[in-house]
Amino acid sequence: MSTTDWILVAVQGLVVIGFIALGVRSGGIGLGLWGGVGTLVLVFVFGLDPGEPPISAILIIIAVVSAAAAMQAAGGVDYMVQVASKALRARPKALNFVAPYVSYLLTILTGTSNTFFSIIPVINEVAYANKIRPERALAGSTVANALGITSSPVAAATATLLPLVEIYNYDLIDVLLITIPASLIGIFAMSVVMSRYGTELDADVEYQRRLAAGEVQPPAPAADIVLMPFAKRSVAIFLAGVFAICLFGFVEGIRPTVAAEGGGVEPMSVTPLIQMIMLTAAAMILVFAHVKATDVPTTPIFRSGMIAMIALFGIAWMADTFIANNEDAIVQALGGLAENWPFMIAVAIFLVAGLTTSQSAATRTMVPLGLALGIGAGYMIAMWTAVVGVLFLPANGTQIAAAEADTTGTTNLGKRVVDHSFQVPLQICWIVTALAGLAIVWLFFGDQTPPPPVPATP
Amino acid sequence: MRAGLVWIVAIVAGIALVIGVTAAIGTSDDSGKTVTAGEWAQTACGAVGVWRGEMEDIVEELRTPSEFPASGAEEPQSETPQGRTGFVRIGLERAVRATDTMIEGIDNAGTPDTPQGAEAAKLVSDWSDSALDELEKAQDSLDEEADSLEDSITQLTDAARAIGAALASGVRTIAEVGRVDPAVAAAVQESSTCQQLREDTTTS
Repeated sequence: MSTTDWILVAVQGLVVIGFIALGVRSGGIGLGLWGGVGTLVLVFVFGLDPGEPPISAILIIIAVVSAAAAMQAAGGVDYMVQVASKALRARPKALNFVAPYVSYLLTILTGTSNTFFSIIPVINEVAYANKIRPERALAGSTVANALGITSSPVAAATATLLPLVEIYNYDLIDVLLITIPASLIGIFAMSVVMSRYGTELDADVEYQRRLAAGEVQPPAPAADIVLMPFAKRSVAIFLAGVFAICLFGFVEGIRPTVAAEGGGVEPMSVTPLIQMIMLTAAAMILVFAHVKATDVPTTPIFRSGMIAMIALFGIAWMADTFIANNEDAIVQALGGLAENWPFMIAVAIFLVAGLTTSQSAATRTMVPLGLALGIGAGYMIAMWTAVVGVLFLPANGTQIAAAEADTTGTTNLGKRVVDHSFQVPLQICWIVTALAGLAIVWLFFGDQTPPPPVPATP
Repeated sequence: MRAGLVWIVAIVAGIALVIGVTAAIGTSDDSGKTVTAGEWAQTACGAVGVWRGEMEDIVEELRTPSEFPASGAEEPQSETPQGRTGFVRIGLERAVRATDTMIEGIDNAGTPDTPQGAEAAKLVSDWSDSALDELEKAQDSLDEEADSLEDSITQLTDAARAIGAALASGVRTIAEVGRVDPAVAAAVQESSTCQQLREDTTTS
């Protein structure tokens, strides 16, 4: 690439960052609208091919929000808040630890971050009802959820990694033995920090402004909540849906099969399954929890979900337009960084994931490079967890949905693009996870590859 | 303001720690050096094995594109194995990148300290260079406008064939190394990565 090309890529990158910043300042659907303008500028001014809007994620948000909003209309969210509040009565702050681990588990079981959409409103409501700054639980859970990809045996990124390390005698079990304990440690460290992060709600300026303006109601004590008659039933249906998604996600054999392109059949993708199951759960709640369909769109969960959907539409479309046209340049630049300074490989993995917003792209480009540079396969697996860097820029669905769900305004997408609520937990989580992984490999795996043989004397 | 600064300092310190630990772990860059035949075989077969793993993934993507093309692209951070969108051009671009990385790995393997070690290393190095040339040529051929639909299909099949040819010639080259230098052949026989490579190629 010539210098002019590099300058052009940099200018396009600045345009993307600029429009994200504009969108974040507008807030709400403004994020999506400015993302749309950014896409227009990239296509018309720079002549880029338009990327793909995140249709699957948008459809999942619609399905999940329908189910969660139906549950809220039936009083199910109130019931969950009551139950969680009772369980957390002695230690309400335990939510900052429990929520991230639950989110992490959901991703492990399904191999996708999309299941997390279903529990975002619940985490928010439980945190708020217990007067916990929602940002603490929501931001931590979003990061833990993304980290779960590297601990999931059914994730695309794991499938990409395995053929690369098998030659060094590392199989799926070895990979999980490194990534799962390392992630558990990373999430714990992050949760410790997040449980003290930011001011308490009473002292938060933005929250107090919203409270004074009547944009948000003060938290109702869990004991004062009057349950609606079919609240429990709606929760049971909703949780059954989440459980079914986890079951289908983890056990490929029970999924319906579809025709494979190369002949034969293969298990259906988990993405459309989430959509089907959540829409079905919403319908079942309407029927069995006696909710009027017209009441569902009036719930706060529905409103914030729709805003998140529009925001994601524009921002992710703009990001994909930039990435799809410049992925080679990004990988080349960061690959060059790692080639010249191999000790920068973990940082390079993190940045490739962040700038391409793809864990698989970071895996298939950076891991082989690290191995070619002579870094041990076990150590590369430990550093591979840095693909959680996909959350570096606030352009992912889960980040946008979490920020929109938090009516107190504590969870935000930042004012300068990188200063969003997810940045600190993200940095703590990837650094601690990578270090813990390196320590695990050093302590328990050593150089798993047998030493090179001494050739027989001819 | 002050809290923000503390976070920045803490994060920079954490990243510096990761970089420091990675530097302490070190790498095994033996390019231009003479190493034992065992070390050379271990590294060279490792590089070819990783490359083969990447090629497997590429071929799998070419073979099984998305089952739900109508639903559009998945959001990258949520992608699933079934959501991939494989095309010959993307596959070739990835193959070129993978081969480029393999060349780096083979260069880093150094030269075996056996009588014909330099020749053996050159054989593998020449093969990886020619594989890269062939794949790049196939990639370039896709840029040329075909005169007819038939020519266009030939271009596509030739491009896909180039990936297969590179894969097959790589395995042949490792076998040929043994004929050039018996000492290297013994090391190749014993090396765990070469054994794994042999297992992979015989089972596929």
